[in-house]
Amino acid sequence: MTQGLAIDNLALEFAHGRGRAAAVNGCNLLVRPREILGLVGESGSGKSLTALACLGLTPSSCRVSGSVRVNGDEIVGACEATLTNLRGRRIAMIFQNPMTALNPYFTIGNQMLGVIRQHFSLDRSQATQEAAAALKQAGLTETALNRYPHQMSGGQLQRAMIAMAIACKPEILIADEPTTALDVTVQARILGLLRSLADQGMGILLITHDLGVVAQVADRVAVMYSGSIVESGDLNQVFSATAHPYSLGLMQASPVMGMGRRKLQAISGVVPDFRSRPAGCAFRDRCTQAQEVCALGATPYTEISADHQVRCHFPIGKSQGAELT
Amino acid sequence: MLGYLLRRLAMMCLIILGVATFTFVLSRALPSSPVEMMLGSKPTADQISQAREELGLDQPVAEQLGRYFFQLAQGRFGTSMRTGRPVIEEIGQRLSATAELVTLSLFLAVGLGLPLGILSAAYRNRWVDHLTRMLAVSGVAVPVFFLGILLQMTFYGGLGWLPLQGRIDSIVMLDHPVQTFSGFLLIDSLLSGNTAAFKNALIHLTLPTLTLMLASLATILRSTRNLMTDVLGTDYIRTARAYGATRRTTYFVLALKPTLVPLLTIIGLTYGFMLGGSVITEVLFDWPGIGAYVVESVVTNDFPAVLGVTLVISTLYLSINLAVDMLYFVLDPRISV
Amino acid sequence: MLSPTFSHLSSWPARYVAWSRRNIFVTMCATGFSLIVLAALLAPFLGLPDPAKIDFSVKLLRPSSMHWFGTDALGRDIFSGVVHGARISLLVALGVVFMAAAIGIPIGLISGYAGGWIDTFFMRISDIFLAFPPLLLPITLSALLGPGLFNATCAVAISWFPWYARIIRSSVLTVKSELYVQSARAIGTNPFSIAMRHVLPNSLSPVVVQASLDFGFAILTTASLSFIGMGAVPPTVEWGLMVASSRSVFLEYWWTAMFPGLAIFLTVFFANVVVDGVRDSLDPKLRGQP
Repeated sequence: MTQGLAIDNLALEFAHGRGRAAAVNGCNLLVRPREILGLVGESGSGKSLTALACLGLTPSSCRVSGSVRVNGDEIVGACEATLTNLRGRRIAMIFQNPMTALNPYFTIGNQMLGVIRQHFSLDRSQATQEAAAALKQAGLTETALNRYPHQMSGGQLQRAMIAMAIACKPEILIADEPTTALDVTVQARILGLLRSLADQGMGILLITHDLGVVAQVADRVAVMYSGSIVESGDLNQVFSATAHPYSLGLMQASPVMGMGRRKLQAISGVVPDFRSRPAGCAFRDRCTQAQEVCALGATPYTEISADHQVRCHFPIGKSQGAELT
Repeated sequence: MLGYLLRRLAMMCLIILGVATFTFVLSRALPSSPVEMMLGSKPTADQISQAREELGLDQPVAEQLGRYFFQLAQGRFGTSMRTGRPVIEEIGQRLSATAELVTLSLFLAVGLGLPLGILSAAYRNRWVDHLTRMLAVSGVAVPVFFLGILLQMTFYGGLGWLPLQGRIDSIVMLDHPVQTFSGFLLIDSLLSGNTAAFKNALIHLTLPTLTLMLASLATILRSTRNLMTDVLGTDYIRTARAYGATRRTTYFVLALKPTLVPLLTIIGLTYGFMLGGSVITEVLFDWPGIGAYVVESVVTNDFPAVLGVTLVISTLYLSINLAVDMLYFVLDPRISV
Repeated sequence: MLSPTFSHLSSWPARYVAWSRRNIFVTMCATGFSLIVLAALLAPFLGLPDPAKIDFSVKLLRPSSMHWFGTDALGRDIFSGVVHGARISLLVALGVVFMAAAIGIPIGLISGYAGGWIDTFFMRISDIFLAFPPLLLPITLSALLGPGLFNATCAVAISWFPWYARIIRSSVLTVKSELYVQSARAIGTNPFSIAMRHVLPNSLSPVVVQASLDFGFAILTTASLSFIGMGAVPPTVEWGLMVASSRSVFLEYWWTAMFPGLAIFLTVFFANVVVDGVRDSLDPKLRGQP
């Protein structure tokens, strides 16, 4: 039984006017315990959908194929009863906008107790103790139990959500853009919290569009473009020996402190809508080194090294990688 | 909150004054003079002018208005020109009849509409939803009098199960008189163990309640479904499901509270609507309620009665609206007390 | 306007057909409503017997090939009554809505634009109107104005105009604070042309929405008024009045009440479904959803 979150060949299809199209197409990821995997990609790449699929929460109009296993338990096609047992208990998720992610009509404590008592048969006071412990671990005090969401700041709310996520001690945590809506100073603290959670044994899938965030806390990284993973592997390797033209473009377009003044280079063009994706490699219309073969059929995966794969016909050589700060 | 309440109460008093003035001016403009009516057929000119003087109708309107307000402040609503009884007494009696009808209708409308609306939102586009939406659109489109007539045709004319009109058979009232506690026949007869009257009152209540209930049921169904659908689409419900909330918990606890807060406003407003909407039902079923009283008074130009009943109904309506608004303070944690 | 899934179709008739197929129910109701409108328009030309003609020799006949919907207690042909009644009801509903808008729009414009005590005054007046539960004011006003369908129409319109005034007023308030209006005022454009060119076009849409929703209610309200004797009077042939006059006989002679009542129900039903359907398809949030 593989520990951690194993996503194999996940495809998420939607029907539209002219047939079906895959928003996520053949995604393969592995999040091991004690490590943080950063999933990077622009809006529209399918990252959030992938995250929802890991919990069986994709919209009903979405057809899911492939496999998502949480410590061996299959999510895809599982019945509702299995899913409600797994959600929150073995795999938990924190969402992008903490201000709207919690129910404004119930106190934090009430919501946390609901989750805890859903998964464990504890009485009220025991559950409250667990909730208080989780809050403490997330950096909040017990007073948060009696607060309503509108009485707390964004950073506090995100911590409250993390507390709710860790209250049942899940093995896997998915963090979907946890810091995007927060200030930079708060961001650093939240990321630090995630790091400590990973050090204590959790496997974390950290979804973000910000390479800086990935650079700060992730152990491994996967780059997603238009529904599939184009490059993945150990953080240092991917950053120093970037092999996919898109990943390289991302690095060059991101401001990184300490690199001195340089011109940010944008990648020309836009991410294609999944309904009108070109055949073959999805990136070829924007790629500076695309050739005819890129338009033909599915692009194969190439192993650059032990923990570094890329999906490209013409992976870039080592010398062109961006430096890691 | 207290400040808000006081301001709203002050505003309400102003509006009621406005309603009184408005109705008063209107009533003075009613075509046929109430005086002629009161005096019977073919009064002489002298009789008319004498009666007008007695009633104060020859004074300027502003002065009449002032006198009327003065009387109101003393709690005197005047005497009905049609029956000769104090208006306030008549209104009191009629009001309890309407209140019994409206309260029962509302209970039924909510009792049916709320669960169906929730189910409809939970199972969108399945047969429950389609049935509910059909019911909601039909309920609003059916004329109240037509529905009443259909029910009468079926349950009285066809099946003979239920009576045609009235609140209680006079025979029953004579043989088993009901002591008045609340003015609600059902409650009063239960309290004194008067089963004959209870049963009789109940069967008389059935058809009018069903008639009055339908439009409100439709509104509550539709509102519940729409509100619940919106809530089910929020981020926080998604979060709850992501943490393993079962369908039942989601629908009946986590999504219900956010739905109930605006829904209670709608239910309160519906109660207010029914007060006025009961007119047709009461006329059709010969129900001795306030709606029928309005029609009787207006048709006979009985202006003390018209004034009195308009004031009472408007005050009730405004009070219900105010109460419903204040509910928000209690229910929504985001609004500070 | 229509869902993006139809964008691959070339012309708007093609898109309309595709939309109709997806929304069969709405289309059916639209067809039903069109039939009623057609009946209303063509009523005098269909060669129907005079709906108001009293003839006791044919009273209370069951529906037959001679009288499709039977006859009432005065021998009047009910089918003819229903068809002619369509004309009356539709006209009356339009009248109510137009009148209410016609009164409400100028008042709302003035109130919103002038502001100050004029605005407060109008708002308090409308509060008074809104303090009455639905049927109460039309009944009182109707009694004041006297019997007759025209008076009933006016009564209902006067009861409803505050809604329209409020809608326009809030549009005015929104537009008033828009930058381009402020600059127009700064260069001295007169308020009337500002109102015409900027305020009205923006506020017309919610007014149209309200009017379309009110259409069905107008039919119901005027029919209800006629039912309790405060609206149409004989010899006018009106659905509510027809039901009212059947009250003495409807238990044994069901057709006297059924057909006019059904007519009201179906008309309002179709109208409401069509209005809802059009509104839903124009709502960007619902695009692409079943």
